[in-house]
Formats: sequence, structure tokens, C-alpha cells
Amino acid sequence: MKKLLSLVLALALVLSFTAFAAADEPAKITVFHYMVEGNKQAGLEAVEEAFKAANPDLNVEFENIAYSQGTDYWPQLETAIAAGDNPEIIMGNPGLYSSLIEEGFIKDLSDNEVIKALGLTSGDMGDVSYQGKWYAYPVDFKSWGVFYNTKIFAEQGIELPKTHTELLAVCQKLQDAGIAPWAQWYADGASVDIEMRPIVWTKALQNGDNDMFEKLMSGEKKVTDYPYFEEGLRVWGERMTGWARSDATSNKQTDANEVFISGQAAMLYQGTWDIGSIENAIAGSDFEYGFFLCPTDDSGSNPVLNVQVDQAFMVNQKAEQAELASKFMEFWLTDCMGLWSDKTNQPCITGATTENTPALLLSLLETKASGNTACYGDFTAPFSSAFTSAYRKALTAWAVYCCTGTEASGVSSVETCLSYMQELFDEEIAQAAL
Amino acid sequence: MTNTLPSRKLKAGLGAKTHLGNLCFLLPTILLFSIVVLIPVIQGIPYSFTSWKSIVSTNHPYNGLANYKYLLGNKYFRMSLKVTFSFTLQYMFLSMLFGFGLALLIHKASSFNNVCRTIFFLPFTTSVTAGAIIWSYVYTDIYGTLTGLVSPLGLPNQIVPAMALMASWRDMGYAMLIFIAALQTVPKDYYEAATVEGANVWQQFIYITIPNIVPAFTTNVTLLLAWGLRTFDLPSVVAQNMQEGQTTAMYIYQSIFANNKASLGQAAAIILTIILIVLTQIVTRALRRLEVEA
Repeated sequence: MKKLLSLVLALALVLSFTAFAAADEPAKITVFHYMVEGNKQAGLEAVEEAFKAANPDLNVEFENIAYSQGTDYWPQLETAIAAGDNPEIIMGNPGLYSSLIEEGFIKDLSDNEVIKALGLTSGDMGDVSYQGKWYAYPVDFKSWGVFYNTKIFAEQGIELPKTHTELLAVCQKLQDAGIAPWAQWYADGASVDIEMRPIVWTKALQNGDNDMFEKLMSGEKKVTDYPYFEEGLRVWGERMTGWARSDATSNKQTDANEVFISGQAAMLYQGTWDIGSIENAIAGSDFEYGFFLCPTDDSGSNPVLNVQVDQAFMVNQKAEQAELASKFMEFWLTDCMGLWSDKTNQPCITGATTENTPALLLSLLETKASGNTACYGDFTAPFSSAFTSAYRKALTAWAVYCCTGTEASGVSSVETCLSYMQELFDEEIAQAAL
Repeated sequence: MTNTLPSRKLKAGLGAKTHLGNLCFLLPTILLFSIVVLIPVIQGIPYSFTSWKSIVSTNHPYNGLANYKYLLGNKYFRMSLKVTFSFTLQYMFLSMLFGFGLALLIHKASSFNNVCRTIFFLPFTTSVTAGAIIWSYVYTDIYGTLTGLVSPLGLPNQIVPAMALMASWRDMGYAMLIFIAALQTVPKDYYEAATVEGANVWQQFIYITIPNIVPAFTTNVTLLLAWGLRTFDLPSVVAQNMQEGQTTAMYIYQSIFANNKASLGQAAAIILTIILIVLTQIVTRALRRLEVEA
């Protein structure tokens, strides 16, 4: 009897500990993201800390899981979810993750009052939409253009080019002075893609071809039906041919940053997402850089700013702490945009600034506010991962030909590049029908 | 006659016991292999006859042999097989060449040779990504700077040999160890007898060393062939957007994950597995015949 009593008491004690532990266990919010840059990870942590500080009554903890960037993110995310991981917050633009939406993972935010109150444009919201519904919280935006070494430009007496012809003249002048004009990174698919966007996106939207990507993916239209691709390849080809370094087609983003920052090349065509990395790399040095939007014609008018939502976050409604995750995201959008921008050097989608916001970000925000923009979100649908991959393969072949003179996949002219691109698109369309 | 029967039975019983004992030792490995490899592979086969898109989707309608028909007639799948075979041949040749050369140099026991073996084996322990970054610098910053030429990783007609060299740098140490183990088993008496008979070093190498280490060639060829045919990591790091560097394993990965065509990728994986099994069998049998002749 004594033994039984001891056993019951011991069991009660263990159970009470378990219950106590369960009651005290913090609510965990897991964030899947592809922000590999240290400053963005630090920014996320800072926002999380701010959320905890602002909500002392909530017992919450965060787990941030970073995946590698680019086209590898989706496979890794998909595998994790298929294996049973159920994160609360998933970074990404919804149009690229349609299967997650169709399988009911992603929360519909169409009626979200916090997002509505931000008063964002249709272009901004298009990037976080899928089939007309909002599925993600947009945080900041990205664009691309030319980063230039101000010291080299000053020493060579170079004015900022206003036209495409002037830009080519700058390249020639630098080349003649024994300075490589460009630090290029065409081994990276993002690079070849952003070189084309100022023409392809801008011209397509200006001409009302908002459904261009949708029609290319369905096979209703061919790339040759849109002259912007031909023009984009020609103009970009002129920027490349004649002054490519020997590492142009084997460099990736970080390699090109090193070439630029070390002064081995005067210009770098880069996305604004990397401002933070460049700032970190030059900290403590006397290196100075400027930025201008790449002129793509000879009209002399102000180039249009391409805008695409960069950091956007979806809430997984199948996750345990989905409601808390929504609360966190809303806190981020309303209370932490300045903090995020300061930590990451990213321009906030809401236009939020602080006294620390650098001039480059202020100028990007000013241009965006002026409306002289071409927003990816204004297209009816984005290119899917498969089409993006096919598109980038064709563009890479064009870069290889222009930089090295070597034919890749039969690409040796604008026409053959367009033909190869269409062949790859047809391949995707045929596979989709299987 | 009658006297021999009980002894035969006894022998048979002992043989069965030995087999059973051996099986017991193998059982954990067989179980683990079945759970981790065999059963998932078999479970995956039916998906190749469906039009399953994303792996998070639960919808996979049957579409018969459509995926297989598509792949067998598809230019880019065939191209990926060509790249894979080309890469595998170059990688096998270079790994065996470097591995065997190094083994001949340092197979004798000495402290210096032990250090050398460790150094040459080290690349095998580094991650592919780290190796790829190192070689990117070698090709761009050393080769490119010295010669003024474009890095082979940036040229479609040089990317496969460039990747084969990177992969053989990584795996030559492994091949070397297998060759060293084989070289150390060749009886010294053979060389002594050959020397007495007047055979020179070259003749000893051709008629004694090579025939005695054929099993090491078999092992290396089998391993390198399998590793080469399923190469994925290296091209995915250095040739993601270059069609001329796309191996079949990359085609499979892209189809299943990046492109949301899981069933197509599954069918491609099955075709590659069949090719791998058939080729490995042919090569291994051919080499084993040489072993018997030796």
C-alpha cells in the first residue's frame, strides 16, 4: 500500500511538472526565409526583439530558418513542407508559390485592414497577389541600376551618362584609360535577368502588355510577338560587347562585388538588394560609390525605375501560431519599417524613413513616389520558376556569346537567342501538358 | 555409400548454419538499406506514371507512359545524358590517372608517405560547394590572370572538362587509397623472381603489378562510374544556367522541385537508375573477367 501511494504521488509530481512546463512553454513562430545577407538576418532579429518588447504579455519565441537564395529556395521550402515542417511565416512572393496557395497553406489577406491602411499602389500589391487576392505582407522593394566608382569617374572626368550612346562612350573612355568598365556576374541567373528588365518590363507596361508573361506561359504569344525582348537583347549586347573582363561569365554576385569594390572595374550593374552587403564590405575604407539608373535609349529622358517587392512574407494558416504570426507581421509593417530600413539599407514599401536613411535610398523612394516607375506587380502574372529558369538560360547563352564570342546552345545573334528562348518556353509548355 | 550420407547431411546442415549466421550479420545493413533506399525507390515508381506536379500536392492522376515517351523523345533530356556520359568518362579517366599515379609514388610505407596520403585524401573530405569556390578562384584568378583567357567555367565548350577536373581533384585521394591497398598486397617474391629472370622495371610493372591490382581497378571504376553518372552538386553550383553543363541528375532535380513536374522528374530518375545499373553491371563483369584471366 505504501509502495502504491508513493507511486501515485511520484506520478502526480511528474504530471504537475509536465503541466507546469506546458503552461509556461512559449509560443513559437518559425520563419522560413532566403535572406542570406547578414544585415537582413540582423534586421529580422531586431524586428522580432522589438515585437517581444512591445508585447511583454506574450510569451513568444522565434526560430529563423535561412535557406540558400535564388531558384534553390523553392525546392528546399517545398521539401521541408512535404516532410511535415509547418512554419508560421514563409518568405516569398505568392505568384511563385501557387501550389502552396492551392493546397490551402497560405492565408488570404485580401481583407486585411492593416495592409489596406498602408495605401500601397496596385503595382506594389500585385507582387503579393495571386489571382487577384493578397497573400503576403510586403515589406520593402528592389530595383537595379549602375553602381559606379566615384573616384574613377572623377579622375577620368566622366559625367554621368544620360543616354545609351553616352554610356557606351563612358565604357570606351574607361577602356582606353586601361580601366575595365564593368564588373559583371553572368554566372548568376539574376544578373542576366535584371540587365533586360529596364527595357522589357518598362516597354511592355508602357504599351499595355500587362499580360505578357501570362500569354508567353500559356503559349498564346511568342517572344517575337513582343519587340521588347529583341530591343533588350540588342541594347544589353551593346553594353557587353567589347569590354567584358575575362571573368564576366564565370563570376557570381559576390565575385563581381569584390571586383568593383577593389577598384578593378569602374561600374557594376547590380540590384539594390545588395546595398547592405556593399556597405558592409566597404566599411572603414575610403571607397565611395554612386548609383544611376541605366539609360537604355538616346531620348535623354529620365530612366524609369523598375520596382519589385523584395522582402514579402506569407502566413501559413495551417501552422499552430498563424494568428500570432499575422500579429507580428502587422506590427512589422506599422511600427518597424524604419528600424528594418536602417538595419538593412532597404527602401521600405511604405516609404518610411528615419534620420539615418542614406541619400541613395531617399532618392529611390523619391523616384518611386514620383510615379516614374514600371512595377512587376502590374503584370497580370509573374514568370513561374520554370519559365524564369528557361529565360535565364537563354540570356546566359547571349551573355556568353557577347562576352567571349563563343556560341552557347547555338546562340550567336539576337535572332538565334530569341529562337532558343522560345524553344525553351515551348519545352515548358509541353511539359505542363503532361 | 550409406556411410557418406550422414556426413553430407552434416555438411549441408553446417553450411546452412553458416549462411544463416552470415545473414544475421548482414541483416541490420539489409534492413537499413531497405528502409532508406529500396522501399522509397519502389514506392516512387508508381508516381512516374502520373501527372503529379508539385510535391506538396496530393493530386496525382494516372497518365500512363506519357512521361517516359516524352523523355525518350526529348532533346534536352538526351542532351543531359550526353553531358552526364561525357563528364563521367573524363572524371573517371582523370581520377584513375591521378589516383594511380599518386599511389605508385607513395604506396611504400614511410612517415613522409603517410603525411602525403593524408594531404591527397583531404579534398575528399571537403564539401562540394567549398571545393567549387576554391576552383572558381583557381580558374578565374589564377588561370585567368596568368593566361588572360576566359575561365573554363564561363565557356560552354570547356565547362564539362573543367567540372571533371574539379571532381577528380576531390575524388583522386579515394581512388589512390584503393590502389595503395592493392599495391601493398602484391607479393614481393614476384618482383624478386622477375629481377632474377632479368625483367626490367617496366616489364615488372606491366606483367606483375597491373595484373595483380585489377580488382582495385574494378572497385574504382564501379565507384567512379556510379558517382559520375549521378553527379548533381558540382554542376548545380557552377553551371546552373548553362545548358552545356546540365547533367541528368540536375534535370531530375529541376523537374521535381524547381519546375513543379515531380512525375516527369521521377520518370527521368528511373531511366537514369536503369542506365546506371546496366552500365555498372557491364563494366564490372568485363573487369571481373580480366581478374580471372590475370
